[in-house]
Amino acid sequence: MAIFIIGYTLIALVVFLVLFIVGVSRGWFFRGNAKMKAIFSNPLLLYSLRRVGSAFVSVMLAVSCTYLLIRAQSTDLICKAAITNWNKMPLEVFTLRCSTIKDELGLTGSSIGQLFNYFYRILPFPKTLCSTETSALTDTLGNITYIVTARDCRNFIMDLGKIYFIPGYKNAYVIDVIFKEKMMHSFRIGMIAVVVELGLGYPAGVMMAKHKDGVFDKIGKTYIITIDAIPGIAYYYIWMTLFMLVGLPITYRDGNFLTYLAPALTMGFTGMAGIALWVRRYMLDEFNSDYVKFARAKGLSENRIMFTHVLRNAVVPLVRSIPASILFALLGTFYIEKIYAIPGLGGLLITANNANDYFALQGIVVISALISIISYLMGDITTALVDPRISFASK
Amino acid sequence: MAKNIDQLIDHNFEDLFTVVGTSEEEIEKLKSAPYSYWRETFKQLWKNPLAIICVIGIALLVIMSIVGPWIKQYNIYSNGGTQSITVFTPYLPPNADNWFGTGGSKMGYFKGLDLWTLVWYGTRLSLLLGTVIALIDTFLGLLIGSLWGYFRQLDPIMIELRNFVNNVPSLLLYILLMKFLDRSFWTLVFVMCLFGWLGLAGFIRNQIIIIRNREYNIASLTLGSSPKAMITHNLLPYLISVIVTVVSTAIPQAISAEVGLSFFNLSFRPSEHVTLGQLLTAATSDSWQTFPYLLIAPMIVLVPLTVTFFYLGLALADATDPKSHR
Repeated sequence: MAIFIIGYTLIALVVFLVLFIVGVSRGWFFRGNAKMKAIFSNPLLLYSLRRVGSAFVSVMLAVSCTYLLIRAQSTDLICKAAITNWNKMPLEVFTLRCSTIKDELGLTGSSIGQLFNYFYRILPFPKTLCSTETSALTDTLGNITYIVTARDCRNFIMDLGKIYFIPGYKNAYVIDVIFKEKMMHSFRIGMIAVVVELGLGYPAGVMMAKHKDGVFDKIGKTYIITIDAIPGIAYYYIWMTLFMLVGLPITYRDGNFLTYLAPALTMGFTGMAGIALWVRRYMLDEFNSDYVKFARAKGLSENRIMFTHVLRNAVVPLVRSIPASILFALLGTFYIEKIYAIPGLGGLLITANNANDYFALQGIVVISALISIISYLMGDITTALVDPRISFASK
Repeated sequence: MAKNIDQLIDHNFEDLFTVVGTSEEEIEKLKSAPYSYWRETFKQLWKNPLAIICVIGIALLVIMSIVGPWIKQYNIYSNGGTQSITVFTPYLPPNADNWFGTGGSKMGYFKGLDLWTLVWYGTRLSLLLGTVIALIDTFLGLLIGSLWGYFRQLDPIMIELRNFVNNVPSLLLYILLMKFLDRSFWTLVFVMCLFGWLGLAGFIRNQIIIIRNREYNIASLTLGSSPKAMITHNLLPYLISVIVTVVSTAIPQAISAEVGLSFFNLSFRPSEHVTLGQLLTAATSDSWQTFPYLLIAPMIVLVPLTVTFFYLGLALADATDPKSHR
């Protein structure tokens, strides 16, 4: 019952928020009150409110859709995984324990009620949640001697449930596994890759733009187009073969920096192509503008024009993607992690799916939706910081 | 020069021009050749040597995908028990019988099968799948994208849909959908087309928003053009060059997408159909470092296939730009 109250309050809140934002932006409220109207028509406040509101709706939508898709499968198996020696218990004890476990996990009631429960768990505010672990101790003949229950309570900011089916992570909290263990591996590789792709992509793009139709430009263009055309897996293996020939170790090992290089460079060299392409294109666009002609007329050196005038204008549309590339490094990639056997977050999705672990799958969806929303917002903020022309009022 | 100016000043026109007289027939005729957009496009395309190489390459690959398996006459499927499968010893390096070698013992169904035959059957199915998906994606993308750009009321729904697809890992969607569906040709087409059109639709929408308030469109609206006429006569023809650029790369991208799905066993079952993606995946799960020809066999077709399509697309994009005509 409590779940339904929470759920309907949530829905009412969301509807109210959406109506409020729409209303403020259309000027429905505060018609008589000029002061209030002035506060609420502050462009930055209105913009942030609208963005946070729409981001919230997007995350809810993504989570609900995947939740319903994942939940289309049976949930009875969870009890069997959660209770040790379940097959040796008396049936009535098992049924009782099973219903308690399902209750704690929010798997009872209608699917809408379950969804509300899940939203209650993932909403970021402090809460205490408990779960009961049950196991049956048996003697040598296989008869039950004790039924042991252990209550495990914990304070959460955000609860993503427990893992039941993935070997090696049984009864671990999804949030712990994702943040404490998996994300570290993905982020480590991802950060080196981001440094490589930014560190090589920008200079390469500038060089290509500077010597347009030169040898370097032609080689660069061929590389970019080839990377675009060939399927990802094909060129990942081409890179892997090259790294093997050079003598880099290609199996990932925790703590050995040399083994991080092959996957990180594969990712970096791939990402670099896209960055170089766009840097080149935006720089060439800027070359025709009046301020460049004026700078030339003033007699500035080509390098000065290039770096203090053109590049600063050309990077404005590009910096938006920098926070995203750093944040998405947390999530890892499916292909690279599988190819180089990195125990990261991308691999967890595949393992969780193969093991039919609902909570791990759902947890990954929540985390990746949050990260993509945050990176979008941060991209806007970065653009506004870099470009003095942008004001939020125009959006 | 000075002499000419002097002549002009003297009104001595007879030295400069020859008078031919008037003719009613000549007035009606156009001196310049009539301009046809598509003829000019292809004229430009054939001037580009890269495009010709790509067309020849694609033609060769398509012909080989039909003729290739027929050259060797090895069966890889039993066709419901009507024919026997030709199995060789696994890990045979390329030789006179097996031009690409034979499948390794860890390659599942492909163990000991002739890689030459497998590769060309795979090319055939990959090409077919890629073409069908590219066609459907293009059609849906153009239709929905132009409606989305023209009718701004669709914005909230469509942007929410785009956010949804961006927020959820696409692989997870594929995994969840594939759990409920059987793996036939049309299921795979359905799954890959389900959100594949969104990229093109978003692109078309942005382009249409840029040009929809130009003077010629406002003039057309004022004269009472219907939305259908606006989209099909004013907006899409203006974007033809941009559209061709995107669409021409759709086939290699669909082929690549299938390779990606195969890598996580989300494509066909290897015992029923073979694609290049499955061959690549099977080779990578075998010890390809020791037997490199397992990996080289699918790569040697897959890489030229996607690259030629892509380069042809880029050449076509240059050729369709009306600014480069004449």
